[in-house]
Amino acid sequence: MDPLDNLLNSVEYKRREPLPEGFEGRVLDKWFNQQPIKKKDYTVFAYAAAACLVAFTCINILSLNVLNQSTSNDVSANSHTTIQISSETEFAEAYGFVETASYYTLNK
Amino acid sequence: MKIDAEYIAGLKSSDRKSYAEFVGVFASRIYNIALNILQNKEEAEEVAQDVFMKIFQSIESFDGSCSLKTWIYRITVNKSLDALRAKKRKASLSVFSNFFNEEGEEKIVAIEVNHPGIQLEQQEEAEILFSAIDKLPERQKTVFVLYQFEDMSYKEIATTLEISASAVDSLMSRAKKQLREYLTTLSYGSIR
Repeated sequence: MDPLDNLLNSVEYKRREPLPEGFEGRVLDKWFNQQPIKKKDYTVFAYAAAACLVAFTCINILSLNVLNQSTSNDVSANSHTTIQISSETEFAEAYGFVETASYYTLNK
Repeated sequence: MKIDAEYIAGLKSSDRKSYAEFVGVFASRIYNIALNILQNKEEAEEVAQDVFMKIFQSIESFDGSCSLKTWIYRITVNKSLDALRAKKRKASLSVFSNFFNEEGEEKIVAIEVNHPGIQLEQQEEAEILFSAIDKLPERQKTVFVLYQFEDMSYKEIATTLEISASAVDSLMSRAKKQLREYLTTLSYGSIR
């Protein structure tokens, strides 16, 4: 008979060995004792994300302030206009003078 | 026995009772597969623990492309082979791990078999058998162990290892042929 088959037939061993004592408890303890470490890592990331958001917001606010300043300066620079005046009446109207008796009396 | 979806839901719930139930159902098979590949109960226990950690960590990414049982056995085989490779790397660094007979051929060294299922009176024969199995290439060894010691069918082995059934058949044939050659080298027939 085939020596390999002989050997396989002669070596009788249990097909299902019992688990080492306490194995299941050790597996569960190992897994559940790891969990707090995972939570801590998550908190660190949350704080880092919040800090980035605050920094981003501050930069945006500062940028908007700078933009507003430069825009108002541009408006001041463009506020001067030229008005063509051809008569005394037009001059008075352009500069908001009110016709009064003393003004006209003085010039006549 | 629950269906796959119930076990998966239990593991995703992070409920210790569900985990305990899952471990209770699969621990024996996982431990015995590792034991038959590694032939050492301390190493098998360590691998079995690693397998469960891997399952718990990866359950969210399990896509159901195979059965839960197949996925678990696949992890078990891979972890066992990883441990086996690590053990062989350590052994190869040892001065006394290999020695040659007068003709320069490698001699099979009977390794200590720490398999709790081996009866004392069969220890010598078991050592010879497991030494020869240990010499097999990884894939042949895995297929042989799963078929011979785990009573898995060729189809189950093919699904677990993600190879074809004909590949399993081929690996088994080559494994048996190689084992017979090793036993002939040892003149095993004369031992009996």
